[in-house]
Amino acid sequence: MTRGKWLTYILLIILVLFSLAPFLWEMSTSFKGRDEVMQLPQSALPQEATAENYVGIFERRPFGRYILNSILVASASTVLALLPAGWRLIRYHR
Amino acid sequence: MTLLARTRKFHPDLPFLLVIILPAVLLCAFVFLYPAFLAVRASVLGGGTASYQHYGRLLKDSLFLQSLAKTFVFAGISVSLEFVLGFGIALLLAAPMKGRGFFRAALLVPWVLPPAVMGFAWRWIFYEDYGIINDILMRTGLVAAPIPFLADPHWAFGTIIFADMWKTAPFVGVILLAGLAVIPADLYEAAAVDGAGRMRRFFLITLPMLTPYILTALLFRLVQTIGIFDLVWVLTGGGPSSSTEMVSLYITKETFSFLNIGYGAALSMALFAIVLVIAIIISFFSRRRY
Repeated sequence: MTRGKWLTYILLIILVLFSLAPFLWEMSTSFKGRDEVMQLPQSALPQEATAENYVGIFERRPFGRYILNSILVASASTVLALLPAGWRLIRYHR
Repeated sequence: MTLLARTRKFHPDLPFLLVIILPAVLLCAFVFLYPAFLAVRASVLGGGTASYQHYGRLLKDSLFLQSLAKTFVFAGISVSLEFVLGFGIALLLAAPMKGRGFFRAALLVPWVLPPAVMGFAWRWIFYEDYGIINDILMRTGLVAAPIPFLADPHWAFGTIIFADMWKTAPFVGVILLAGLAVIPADLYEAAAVDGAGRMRRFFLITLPMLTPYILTALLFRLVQTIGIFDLVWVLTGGGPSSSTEMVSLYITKETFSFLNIGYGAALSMALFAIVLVIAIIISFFSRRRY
């Protein structure tokens, strides 16, 4: 590989790390217990990984219902937006 | 002559085009035009009779003008940084290489995630006591005391710019990448034959060919950034001491916290007019050349 190619890859990898870091940190935090979140120094990966946060959102809140709401709104608006245009497109090319 | 035939005289595809845009028009009518009509009505109705007192007050409202100035500074810095970073991303991704699909997908992640959700992520990362950034800075000994990224007026503004840049640079990148993809390769070959170097090729081919895409990206970003609400609301809520109170937050506070509905509506109208003028100016530039 030429030097320019190497430079491109190095820059891209730095950018990818920059783009994904907050998301990965959020993911790591989501598996930490209540005490570990508020503990210094912070550890990159959860020392005692737990799924209690994920269980908690479904127990304390109707999170399944929230997801369903989002899916309903997203699919209904997509279909409604495409329906008239799609119908006309079919008629047009007959 | 039937109505259909008459419409065809304007443009052969007119009925087709009308039906195609129908959903968008209906959507606009329901969620934008009707509320906008109500807002205009509220802004001129003071105590039952029509008056323009709200608009007179608005020009003398120093808090509004301050928040407007703040928003412009924020939009200026933020959009410039996003543009540079986005352009860099587009140029890096334009060349054919291994793993291009992966890099494209990975770099688009910030744009895809919901702003409110990532606002909370950044708030947690920049948190003064337990945030990871302060933790790293303290452990490496770069700073003696934790930096109050979101609690100090001097830092909060920059922190929000940083989070906004992270989120929207990929958007600029995607638009410019689309523009780079349609520049014919023979232009570069011809220029190379004529002895143009890398720099000259960039300024004589890439930049002019990319201008409509650049203007589109800037238009979208400027309009969105001037109306920014969610990210600022989640990160600082306009604080500390109003240092990050953007104009949309000021309008929201005036309308829903102080319940000055009429005045809030007048403020919205003013912001709408400003954004419209910016959009018209940028559209004018993009029409003239092409």
